[in-house]
Amino acid sequence: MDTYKHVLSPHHADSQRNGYDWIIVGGGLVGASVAYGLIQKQPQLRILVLDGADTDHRASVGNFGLIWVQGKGHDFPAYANWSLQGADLWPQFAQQLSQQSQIGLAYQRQGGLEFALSQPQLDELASEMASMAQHTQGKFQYQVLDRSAALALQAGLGESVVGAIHSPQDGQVNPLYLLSALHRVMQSMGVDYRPRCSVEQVEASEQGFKVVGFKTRKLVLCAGLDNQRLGQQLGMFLPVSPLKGQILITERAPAGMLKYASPQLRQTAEGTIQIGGSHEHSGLDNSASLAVMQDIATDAVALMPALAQLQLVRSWGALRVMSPDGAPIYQRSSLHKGAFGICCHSGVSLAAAHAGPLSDWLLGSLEGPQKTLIEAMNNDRFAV
Amino acid sequence: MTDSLFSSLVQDLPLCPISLDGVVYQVPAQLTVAAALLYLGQRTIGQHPVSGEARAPLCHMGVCFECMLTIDGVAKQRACMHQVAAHMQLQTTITGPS
Repeated sequence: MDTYKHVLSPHHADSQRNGYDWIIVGGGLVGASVAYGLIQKQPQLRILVLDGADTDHRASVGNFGLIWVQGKGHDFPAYANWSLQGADLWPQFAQQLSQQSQIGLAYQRQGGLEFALSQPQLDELASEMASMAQHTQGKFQYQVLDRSAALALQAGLGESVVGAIHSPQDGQVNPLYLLSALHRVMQSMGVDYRPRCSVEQVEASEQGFKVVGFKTRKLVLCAGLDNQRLGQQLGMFLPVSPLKGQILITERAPAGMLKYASPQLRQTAEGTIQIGGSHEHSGLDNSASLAVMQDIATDAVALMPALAQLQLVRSWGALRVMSPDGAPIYQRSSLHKGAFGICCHSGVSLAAAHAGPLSDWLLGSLEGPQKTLIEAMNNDRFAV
Repeated sequence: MTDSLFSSLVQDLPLCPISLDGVVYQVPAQLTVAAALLYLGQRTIGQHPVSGEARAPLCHMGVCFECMLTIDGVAKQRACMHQVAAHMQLQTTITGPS
């Protein structure tokens, strides 16, 4: 199969006959970040991204848009370091991507606040942050704020807020612009993209893989919730399950009403305020429900009473792609060389990491601690 | 207020007095508030809260929230979702010269 490396044309007219170098199953944020990363690093690669239909469960078009560090991996050192690295890579990634795509991403790293409604909750958050700082040799920065310190950063907090954790390393972005920018650039650089292409079957052969009639040497499963099913076909254990979140959008409010992002609230560049933070195990049902909308609206108003004056303009539900411990899974198939599975629920936070070091890892060009870090997030931790 | 871009296809409609930012106008009685404002030539209803850009009714079906104004003292009503009524008091949210 050495014929591939002699093909230099970025236009892949013969890819259908001779096959691709890489097929990526899934054109959401994870698949698009990987395709973007691979084509940047090796522009001669022939890459095909197979995407689903608009009606599929697409976490990438339903998510909240945080680039979140605090708390992630407090009990999993590799994930803590990876989250921080991912967020640190974002400024340069955003600059390059928006320049290439001519799409403003509304990326901001203004810091994040996680609110606590009781002293025990604040203490627990503080101890998780201390673990994260320890895991990252102090690179993770945070402050534990009592109520008055929290009010000094964000005016208008409700009576029930006893304190907050502040990290300057958290940020936010418009996730729809991000997805659209990745798609625009990857396609302009020569990645083939096929939407509405449902993948039922992946087949391994001596030469590589066959997917919906296309041949490839290497295969990356970035199919979100379908990774479990597709991974199974290649003997790869990719345990993921849906965790529903619901989001409310308010009318536009003056800029600066919310100065910091938080897991429950963020103000977009357009001025709307997103309210979220629900977690439901409800299978593949992604519908919005009145009861949960009422709950998250009530919680939001408790955090910030002035929100009660704003009208809601939209709501939706979406399904997070969750592994058993919430951390990503980066898996290389031991059975079929050239097959990989990537599962995560942080397609926004980790987009820069996926386009950067993770793509290097897929290409086999990583060595040393960075390789060790990524491989520490394989599926061995779920072995029984 | 500028010349209206719109005119009524039906003549001799019953008219209804409304007050817009304190000035009384006669408008066809069956119009929505948004349509009545366009009929009067009011091209701007509000401003974008972040950019300050002028905004006007777009979707006329309650979705875009571009036509919010104060109706009879109740703030942030969508002009497209209300029918005009006699002596209705409308206040646009435009600040400064427009």
